[in-house]
Amino acid sequence: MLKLSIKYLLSKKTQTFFTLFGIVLGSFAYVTINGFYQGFQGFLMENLVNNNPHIKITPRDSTPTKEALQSRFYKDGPRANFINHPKQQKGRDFIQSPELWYRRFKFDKDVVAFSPQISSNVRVTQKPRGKINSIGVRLIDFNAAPLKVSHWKGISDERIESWDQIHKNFLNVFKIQNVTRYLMVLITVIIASFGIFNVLNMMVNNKKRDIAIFGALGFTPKQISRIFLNQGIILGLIGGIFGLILGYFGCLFMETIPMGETPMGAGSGHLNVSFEISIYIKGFLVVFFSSVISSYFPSRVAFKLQPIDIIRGKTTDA
Amino acid sequence: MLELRSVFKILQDKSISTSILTDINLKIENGEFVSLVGKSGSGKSSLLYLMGTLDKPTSGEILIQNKLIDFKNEKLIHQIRKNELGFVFQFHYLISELTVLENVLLPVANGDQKKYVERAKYLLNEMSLEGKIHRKPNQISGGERQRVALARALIKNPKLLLADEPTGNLDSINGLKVMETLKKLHETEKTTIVLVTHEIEFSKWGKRTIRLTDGKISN
Repeated sequence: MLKLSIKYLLSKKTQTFFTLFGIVLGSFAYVTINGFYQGFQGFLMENLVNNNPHIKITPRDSTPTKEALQSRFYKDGPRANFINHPKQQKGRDFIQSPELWYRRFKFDKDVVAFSPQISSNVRVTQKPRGKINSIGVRLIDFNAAPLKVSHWKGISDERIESWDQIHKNFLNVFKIQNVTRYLMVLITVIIASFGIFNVLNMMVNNKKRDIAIFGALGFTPKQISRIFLNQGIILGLIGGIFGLILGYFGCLFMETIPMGETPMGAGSGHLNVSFEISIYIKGFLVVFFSSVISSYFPSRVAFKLQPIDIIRGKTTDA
Repeated sequence: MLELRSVFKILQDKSISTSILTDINLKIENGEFVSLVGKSGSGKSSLLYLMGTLDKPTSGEILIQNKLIDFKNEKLIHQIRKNELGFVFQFHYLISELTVLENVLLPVANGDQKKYVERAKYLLNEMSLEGKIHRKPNQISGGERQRVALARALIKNPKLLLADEPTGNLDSINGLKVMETLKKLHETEKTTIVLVTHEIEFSKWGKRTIRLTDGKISN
């Protein structure tokens, strides 16, 4: 049956070529777009994580008291206006008992280093004494930061934030970027899928006489539909693999594009492109399964055709 | 081996129902060569399709090899079509992408094709097509295509061959060749043949003739 599927594909060479081209394009687009975005985001993340503390401990924000608020509001007719924003109110400007934190860090196997700060600009590197405004903590695995934060929050009143909480706004930009890239890939894959669907749908219509004879020869509907489903599998397999190879070379080429000292080229001076294997695996699976799904529906049409209806001419022959 | 008991076939199209076959009672023994004749629209092909399980009767029973056919059992229907029956239609229905040999081997495409290659070559040789086994259907004549279709129907050595006007699209010389092939196979392989034809000359080749008139057996 596989042989017949291949022969059917080869009988319409131009049609098959353009369908295959669409799938290759889908796979290629997935690899290059994701390689570009993931490379860029990966580089920024690396900088973010390497150049900043994984966890930052700062004095706790206090809930404004009635007394504290009195000095900050003035009455202007029926409305109350504030002079200073009450949210900015802090209970204190320094961390209580920083030595306890140092001791905790010393015995915590996940902590690589810590850096107490006496102001936002001056960093104390040796034997910190006196009032400490904040402590930056570096962990072995930055991914463990959120868990560590939730643990420390349970034993301390200070304000403790992990790197992803500190750079929340920055990471939100990544989310928007991800939506854009997935949308781009989705559109490409949908176009390729429509190509397969159209070609196989036309083929089922053109091959109704063949389907009738398959039925008369004792082929089960499942075997008949398999002939058409196989074509989607073959196209998805070949198109997917070719697209990945082309996408890999496309990424290699993108990496050579000089970007100078712009954020896009920070570090190497060239575009940062990701070659993560997961991109290639996901790319192949997305394209392959899109091909299989889009060939499933025409194959169902073939499945439902009755030989007698075709022979009697109830369905239009090509 | 093939028996039809009180078979009716009524076609229902919206509110209009048309009786195609009425109270068909028929028995065909193993090794018989039966001609089914009648005017156009008399129900010859419809009867053949029922015999071949391609269509199901509105009422009545069909037995093949003494087995009552349950038309709800699709698996059984496909097995009967695959193992017991061979079809030849007015149109050859060859797969244009396959060669002559591949077309003949099509009924065994899901199994061990190699086992049948020799038989396919033998059948094609019997039909004087030995030099054309690697040609595509569009590279041979109409008569040759019909003989390839005949070889395809016989590849699994079916017990019953159902031929629906196999000479209908052929000129007299090619028609005669197809009929000679059918007769030869009937004699050598003892295949039971039911031949639908409107050509009186060819109907005489059968050992028995069944005449249909307005969906009823009239002889």
